Amino acid sequence: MSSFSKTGLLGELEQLVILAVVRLGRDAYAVSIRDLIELRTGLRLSRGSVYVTLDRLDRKGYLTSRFGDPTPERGGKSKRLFELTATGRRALGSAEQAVSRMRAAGPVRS
Amino acid sequence: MSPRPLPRVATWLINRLSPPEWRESIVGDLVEDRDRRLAHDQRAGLFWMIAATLRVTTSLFVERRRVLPHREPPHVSVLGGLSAEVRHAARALLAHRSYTATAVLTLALGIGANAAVFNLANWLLLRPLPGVVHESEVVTLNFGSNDGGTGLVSVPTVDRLAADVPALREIAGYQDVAVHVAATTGAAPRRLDSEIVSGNYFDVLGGPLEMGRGFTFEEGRDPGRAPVVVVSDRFWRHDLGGGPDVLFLVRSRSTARRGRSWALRFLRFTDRREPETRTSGSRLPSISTSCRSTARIS
Repeated sequence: MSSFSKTGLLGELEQLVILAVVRLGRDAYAVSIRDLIELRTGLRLSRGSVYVTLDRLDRKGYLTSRFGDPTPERGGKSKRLFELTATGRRALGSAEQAVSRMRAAGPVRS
Repeated sequence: MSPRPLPRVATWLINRLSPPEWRESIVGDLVEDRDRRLAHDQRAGLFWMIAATLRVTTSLFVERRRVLPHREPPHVSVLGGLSAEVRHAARALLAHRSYTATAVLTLALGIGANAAVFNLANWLLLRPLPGVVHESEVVTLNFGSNDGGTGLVSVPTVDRLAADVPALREIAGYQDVAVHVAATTGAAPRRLDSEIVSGNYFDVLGGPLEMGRGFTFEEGRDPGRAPVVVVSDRFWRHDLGGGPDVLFLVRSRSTARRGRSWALRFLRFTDRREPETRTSGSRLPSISTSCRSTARIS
């Protein structure tokens, strides 16, 4: 679930997308990000969720984008390639630390 | 072989609903996705294409209409934060014109009232005394009386203070007195505020005279022999015509000087707070027993 949290913490989907961008390196675009998340987690996200999350992270300043070269396989259209910014890296670290601290508080009771 | 382009309706939806920076990549992504599905013998016909396009474009369309919550940007410098606050204040003031006008009017009235009060206090209390050069070295001595008020002291007491108090470099005496002055013989006399002062009065104050000279020591000791008057610039201009050589009559309430004619020899420019005339005469009977004093401390 994506998040507009005022605390600045990332939502789950935002974390998945950011981690996919980090793993993909210089070939992170909507299709490859969606495929990688499905490959690693088994979750088949809708296209709209991926685009919305990328757009939101871009507007927050956590991701930056550039256009790749047009390719014939894509009908002569360019890919919009994403990279993680320093702000995004800090936000990801903060989200992971928050979860780690909560886990360190003790076992989760049902 | 070049892939088939997207259906025109899909292209139209993308161009209508997607942000400009997304349009080209969405078209490319959908073409790539469609061809992969076809390669895996999955459905990717017209309806699939329109449905996929609608999901992407409507999601982005709705997303762009949501407002991201305001968060402080990380690592904001002090000056950067200040400029952001100033810009925010300017925008807020421009957005609320009536509030801005009220605030500006209130500030203007407040500042104007403060300036007026300060000018009044400055005029009454703070501005330098007229005609006094070394104001920080001049004090006015007031002698208390038994009923709690300020009284007058005799000229011998003033002389003894000058001799016995080393902290006082020099001491001069003065007494307020009203005089009736006629600028010409036969003219109706006019009442003026005046002072009878000791001969060293202007030496103690240190103020320069615009014309002529002040009093000499001898004139202060024996004023009846050589009566001298120093007048203000306003009196000189309005009542004496501003001429360099004038003669007029001073008719004092003092018995000792009643009916005497005094030759005006010296003129002085002074402030409006100053008495109109000053007469030397520390030995005159009218002040031989009482006067106030001004002293210059060393």
